[in-house]
Amino acid sequence: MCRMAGEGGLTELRRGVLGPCVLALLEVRPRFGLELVRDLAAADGLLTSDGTVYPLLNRLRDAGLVTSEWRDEEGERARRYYSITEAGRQSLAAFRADWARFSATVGGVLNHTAVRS
Amino acid sequence: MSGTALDHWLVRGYLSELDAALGGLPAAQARELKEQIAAHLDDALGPDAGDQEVAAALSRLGSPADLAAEAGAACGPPGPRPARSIRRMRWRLAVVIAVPLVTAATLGALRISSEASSYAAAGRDQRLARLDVAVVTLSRDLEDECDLSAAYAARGHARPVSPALSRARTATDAAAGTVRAAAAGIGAGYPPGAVHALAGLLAGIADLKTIRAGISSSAFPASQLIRIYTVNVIGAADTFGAAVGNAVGDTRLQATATSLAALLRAENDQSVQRAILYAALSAHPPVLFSENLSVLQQAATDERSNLTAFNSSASLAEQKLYATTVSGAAVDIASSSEILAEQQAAARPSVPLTRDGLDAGTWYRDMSTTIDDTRKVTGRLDSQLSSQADTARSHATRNLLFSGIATLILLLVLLISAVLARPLRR
Repeated sequence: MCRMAGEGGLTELRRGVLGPCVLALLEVRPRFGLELVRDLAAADGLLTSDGTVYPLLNRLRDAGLVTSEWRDEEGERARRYYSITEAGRQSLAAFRADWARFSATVGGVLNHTAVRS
Repeated sequence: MSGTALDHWLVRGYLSELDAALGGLPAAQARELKEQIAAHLDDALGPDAGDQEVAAALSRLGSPADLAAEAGAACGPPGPRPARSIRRMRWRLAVVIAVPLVTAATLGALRISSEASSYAAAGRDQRLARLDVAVVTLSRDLEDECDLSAAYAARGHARPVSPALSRARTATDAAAGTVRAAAAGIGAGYPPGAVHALAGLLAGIADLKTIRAGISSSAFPASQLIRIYTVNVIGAADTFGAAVGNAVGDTRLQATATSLAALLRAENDQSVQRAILYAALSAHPPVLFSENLSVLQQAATDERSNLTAFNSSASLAEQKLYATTVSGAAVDIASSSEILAEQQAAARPSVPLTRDGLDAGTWYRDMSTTIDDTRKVTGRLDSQLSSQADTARSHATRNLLFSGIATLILLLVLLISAVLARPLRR
């Protein structure tokens, strides 16, 4: 029997969408690590563990979708801020379009109302 | 950095655990991730955070092992990099394959090169032995030609050459042709002594035409003629025979060639005795001049010393063969005739020999029997020399083939094992 979307399946799903979600948050404004983690954690069920955000951020940066820089806000200590790049915006736009179609299709199949063409 | 959450014992434990878990990552990547996690905890937890608060934050962060796995999935090329121990094992496997291969190839090459040089040496020995056999035959024909020429000279040169002398010359020419043919290719790579002696012999053969022309046109005294033949041509053949004894590498060949050379010299001495006395008895009247008497006596002395040399290098069987072969009535009569003639000539120099029991034809026949008997023994040594050289050559050939094939098989086996071991290296 094939493995259904239990805990394992959900983890795979999360892994796939977490990157676009990070890009979407950074599209609004640059954030530092904890800030980003907290915003993601606020969305229910998106994060299983806070730590996984950091390797993901590094991967996005290596792919050229995100940059990071040290910022010294007055009264605070220096923090590393992450912001989205132009390539990141394009990638996010593409994902939004894909996701809309994909979620509609999946939703339709799951509800037995698939388009019979 | 006192007074921050990073000093909390739980955080310190977590970070050091993370440090260990990130050991497989490139150093820069591990350092960055550790710095991000530390900053996260520093931001998330105040300096006075309690154990429960810290534990909750760490729990949300996920275990160091999960973090390391997440970071590792993104790292570098697909598939895990081989651990150092596996790389080391691959390297060892390569050494285990390469060392025997290289060793076998090197030892095999050394072995083959040594066998190849033995093979080449045996080839040279074989050619020298064959040439030596041809030279022995030439030497015989030269002896006959010399002795008959001496008799012709003693009779005053006037008559046409006897059919026997003509035949002897034809035989000499044929033997000389064989020697020249067998000598072709003997030069570079051969022992210089043998090459030099061969050059002397070939020059002597080339002189034959001049010597023969001189016999017909001028009045060479018999004794001078014998000396010319002996020194110029027969002596050169003897020198070559002795040189072969020194030149061949195989010890058995050496012994045979040396015995043969000594016995051939004794045969030459017998021939000189035959020639001197035959020429003396052929003259009218028969007379043995004192200078010829001394040549005769010298030849008899040389024969004895050469026979002693033969006995010192020949095997017991070869010595016994000589003793039983060179014997009988004719040999005894020839010996006593020579003594008789010597006595007469010594007692009354330059006085004609009494015919009593001394006759040119009888002497030539009897002494020829002695010489022919000696030739039977040299002939035996000849064929022994040939067969020994052939045996040595075929041994060398077999050894070369064997080491070549053995090396090839060894290399093949090793190559096959190397191919079989390849999957293990992956």
